[in-house]
Amino acid sequence: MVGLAAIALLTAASIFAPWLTPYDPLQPDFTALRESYSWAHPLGTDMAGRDMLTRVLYGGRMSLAVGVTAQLAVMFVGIIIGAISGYYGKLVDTLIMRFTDIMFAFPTGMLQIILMIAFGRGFPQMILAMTITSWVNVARLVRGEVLGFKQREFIEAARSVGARDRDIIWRHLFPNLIGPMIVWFSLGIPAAIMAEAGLSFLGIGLVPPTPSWGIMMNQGNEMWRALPHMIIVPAAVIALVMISFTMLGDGLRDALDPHMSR
Amino acid sequence: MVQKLDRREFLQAASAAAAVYALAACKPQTVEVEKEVTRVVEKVVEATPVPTSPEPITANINMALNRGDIGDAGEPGCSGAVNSYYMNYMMFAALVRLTDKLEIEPDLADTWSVSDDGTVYTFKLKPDLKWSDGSPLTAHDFEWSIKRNLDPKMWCGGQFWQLVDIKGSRAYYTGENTDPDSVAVKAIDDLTLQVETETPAGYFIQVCTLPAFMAVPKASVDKALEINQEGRPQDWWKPPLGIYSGPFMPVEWITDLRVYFEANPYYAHGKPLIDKLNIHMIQNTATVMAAYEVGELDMVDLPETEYLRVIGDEELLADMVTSKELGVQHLVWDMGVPATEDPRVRQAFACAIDKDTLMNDVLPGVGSPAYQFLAPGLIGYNPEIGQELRYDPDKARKLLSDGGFPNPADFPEMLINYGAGSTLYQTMFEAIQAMVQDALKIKVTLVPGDQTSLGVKLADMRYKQPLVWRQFWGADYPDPHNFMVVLYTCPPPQAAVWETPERVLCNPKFDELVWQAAAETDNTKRAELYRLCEQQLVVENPFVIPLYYPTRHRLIKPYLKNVVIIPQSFVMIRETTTIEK
Amino acid sequence: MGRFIVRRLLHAVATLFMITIVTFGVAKATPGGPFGFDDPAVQAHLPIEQRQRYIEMYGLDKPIPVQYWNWLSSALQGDLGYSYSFKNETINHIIARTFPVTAKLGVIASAIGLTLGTLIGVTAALKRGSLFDAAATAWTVVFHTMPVFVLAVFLVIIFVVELRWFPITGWGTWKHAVLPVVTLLLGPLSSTIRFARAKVLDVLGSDYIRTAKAKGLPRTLITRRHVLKNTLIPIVTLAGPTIAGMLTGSIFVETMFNVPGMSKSFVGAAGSRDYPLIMASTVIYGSLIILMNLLVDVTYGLLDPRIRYD
Repeated sequence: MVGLAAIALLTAASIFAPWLTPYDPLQPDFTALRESYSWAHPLGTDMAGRDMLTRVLYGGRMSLAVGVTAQLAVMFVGIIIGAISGYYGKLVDTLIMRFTDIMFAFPTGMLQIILMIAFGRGFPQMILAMTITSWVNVARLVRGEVLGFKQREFIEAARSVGARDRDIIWRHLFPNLIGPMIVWFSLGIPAAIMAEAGLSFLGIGLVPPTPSWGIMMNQGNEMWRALPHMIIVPAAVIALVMISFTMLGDGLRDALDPHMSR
Repeated sequence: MVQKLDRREFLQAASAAAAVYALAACKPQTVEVEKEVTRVVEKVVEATPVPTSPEPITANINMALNRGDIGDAGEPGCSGAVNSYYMNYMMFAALVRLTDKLEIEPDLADTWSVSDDGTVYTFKLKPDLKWSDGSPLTAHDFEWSIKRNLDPKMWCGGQFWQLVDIKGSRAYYTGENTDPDSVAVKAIDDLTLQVETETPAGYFIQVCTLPAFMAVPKASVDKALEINQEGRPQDWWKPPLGIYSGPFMPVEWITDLRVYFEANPYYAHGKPLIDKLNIHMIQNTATVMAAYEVGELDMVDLPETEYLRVIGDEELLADMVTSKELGVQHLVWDMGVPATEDPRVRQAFACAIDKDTLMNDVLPGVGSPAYQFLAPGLIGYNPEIGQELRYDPDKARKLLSDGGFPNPADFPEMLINYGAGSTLYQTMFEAIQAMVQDALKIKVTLVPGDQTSLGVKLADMRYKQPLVWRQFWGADYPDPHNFMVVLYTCPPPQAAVWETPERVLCNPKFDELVWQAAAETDNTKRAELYRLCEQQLVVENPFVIPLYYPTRHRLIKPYLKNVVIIPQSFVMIRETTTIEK
Repeated sequence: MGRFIVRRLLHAVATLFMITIVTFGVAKATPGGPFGFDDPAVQAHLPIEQRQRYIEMYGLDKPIPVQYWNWLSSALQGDLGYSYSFKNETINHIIARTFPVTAKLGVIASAIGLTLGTLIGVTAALKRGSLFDAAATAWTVVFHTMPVFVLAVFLVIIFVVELRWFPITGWGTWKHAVLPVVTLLLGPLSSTIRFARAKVLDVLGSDYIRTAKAKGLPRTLITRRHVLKNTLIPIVTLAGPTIAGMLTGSIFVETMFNVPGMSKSFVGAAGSRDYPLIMASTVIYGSLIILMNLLVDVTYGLLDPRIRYD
């Protein structure tokens, strides 16, 4: 719950950033270059005189947006394909599963890099690259669950009373998928944030000057020794978010999965 | 340093790489008027110094080698990037070389003379020159090497510009004339080499310091076992095949990691005092600094991002050596875009950038603001040029309005491409973006990434909307001709074919002035002609917006003595360099 | 069993084939070429013969399926062709130079990470609630959440600059390998600890352990016979993803520590759109992952008699 609280706080702070800080995350201020911690700039300023706290908050918008959007897209694609594969079985299943095998054999990080180079930098490109590289996991998971459910009595019962496929999937399968999906979602978001940070760090992620935590880390990394706060701030925020999400994910899993109870 | 964007590979080579020699403080090179034999006092160094200590003297330095650089490193005729130049100078020697005061001194040549009409150069070599295996090195080696570099089958076309002044070179290079003897380079005897230029060219003796003029060992080339993908024999410059004429000879060569050298006992200036020279290739700036601080490296280029820390650290500051770089960082206009056709629009953009704030406050230690293309110290540099385009937001708005955009909102989105996205450039261009948007109220978008990399393709963006890209020009030799001719004349002399002039906007007035200045031998007249060139290139019909003259900082351990700092470009380890702990 | 392996092998080959098609497709769909080949401004400076030579050398004048077929047939004969950015080295040569370095690094780091991680994880679970358990959990949280590239800088500053324990320039001695290996293994180490700890707790809570306890079997025997065996088998499955993770992680580690490995060359290739080299790297990494998965499946079967191959 601590995790959930921390995430809620950070998300809220990011969303309401314009009301929380008087500064513009993009507009350089040539009178406040490279400042250290002060009342006016609690986390200091960067090389162009922009307030670090402001940039972290606005960066949070970007990073969280990447995390949530990417996971939603991954879920959407993964659930549909996984459900189709698991529900219909036979040839469709075989084809889809062979394809997921191929995707599994790609090193995820490498494929993301290749795709980002092919698509070019940017937010939609990044979401697309992440979706392409991650949907297979969800698809497999969903397929497994669906296969399990298919054997269960209530599905057979539904079928025997003449319910249509679509209704069965929609009414009976999906509600049962919600639990595992929420867990997956809570673990997928930090993974996507981390991937964004890595790609932006390599210089093929989002387009500056729009701040994201990855871009800030990329900028700060070269300044490690000269202006340490430029890397410590984004790295600390990322670590905080990762810890929160991990705690949340664990907590959710314990709550939703009775097998895991200790 | 290699961040050229447009006519990539070659020019990139030429320019970016082009390594920046400078004129010593306003003292122009005067070799062009020399007629008589010049004999420069030679440093007398014991040919084979008896090592007093049993421990070999070893220096460790770093070069942040780019991938492409190392490919050319051994083939001087194809070399174009700053780091491959450096490797060339370690391994091979040319006829003449530059001193730390940017004067020309003999390398393998002993003396040289120029004919009365200024076109025939006669070099007398030092007697008893030897390759590193002890075999004789003669003028015939030079003739063979230069002609080999011009051979169209060598495929290193981009570096043709180094040799373009030699009479007959173009016809042979383009295949019009297949007879190698038509190239006016001739060994009269073992010790005499004669080179004839097409027209009198005052800068030619400086061109002779470039790697394309180095003698290359035919014996090694013939022994090469493999042909590289451009059709040249490969790896002949590596051990065990290579024999060398420069101060050092590689003994271990691992791509992407390190090259270890040992002193060449037969070097023309005597065996270097340093016995072993280890060149490491580390690119990560944090790693480079760590390695210097713990003493694993004796000399490194100071990463710009570490400058602020070093000036606050007494110990490191004591090791810092600063020099001005004979080059200019600038923005290049994509010519032929309707919105920026009016020169006033381009001038408006120049007026919107506050270079003083940018270089003095935002990025201290990176360089000094530039208002013209030629760097200080060159003939034709004139601090008054370009002053009318200093930062002035009101003037900028007026120019934009006069140029056809009274309402800035009508101006299409402007793109700035700035090459690889290091923190330095990112900060610089985020600041420029803000300055231009504030001054002109137009929308400016940053497009990071090299033309060929990271998802950006400059060619795809061109000719559509207003576009500038960052480019660096560093001098190959300290003469304004080098700055003016290679990039912005149409066609540039190194172009073998010129099929697409309609896509490149030419300025015939500028071209004419450049060639007039090249053939001029009187320095006062040349200075005036280059002033007119600048007026065209930067002010009247701006093709470029100069940004700044870079400053280079290096960290050199105090015990590394007598390094030869060739202003703005290299810190050479030469025969007299040594370590005294 | 034999039939299973054959089938999996065929399957692996098909997968690899698809990987090449996908990568080739992506490469061809994006701009870029040897030495600015497709840029008119650059072409103006190339002698016509040289341009012709590039076209022939890379087969760029042929339709894309033909280009793919040419690539595939020579790759099958063990010739991966020419790189766009290394003029003096064939891709075979580059791979031969860089792959052993990355492989060595990855194998050592995976081996240490998996063994140590299992040991710590199991111990922590068996001593649940102890100080050791708390420390292990804290450790995993910290290193699970810290990006490799931040970690690398930390290690350099502490162990190279401040303590001067390890050299940072060069490559070759064991001392050079310590920091890269440590950086590389910290992530997998913490995920292994988490995984092992959770598994042991899971097993401890299961019915058969309760039965065993009820039977009055000695604690050590229960631990050895039931808990460990049932924990170790799932951990084998971790090997595949761990090694895949090593490949990605080594991209940062190799750049940071100047390790002359394949990931560094991959990043360089990606940066300069050196498609032939990108293709080769992907295919090699892909086959490695496929092979690992195959091995894991087989080992899993050997260890767990309940699994049947059919």
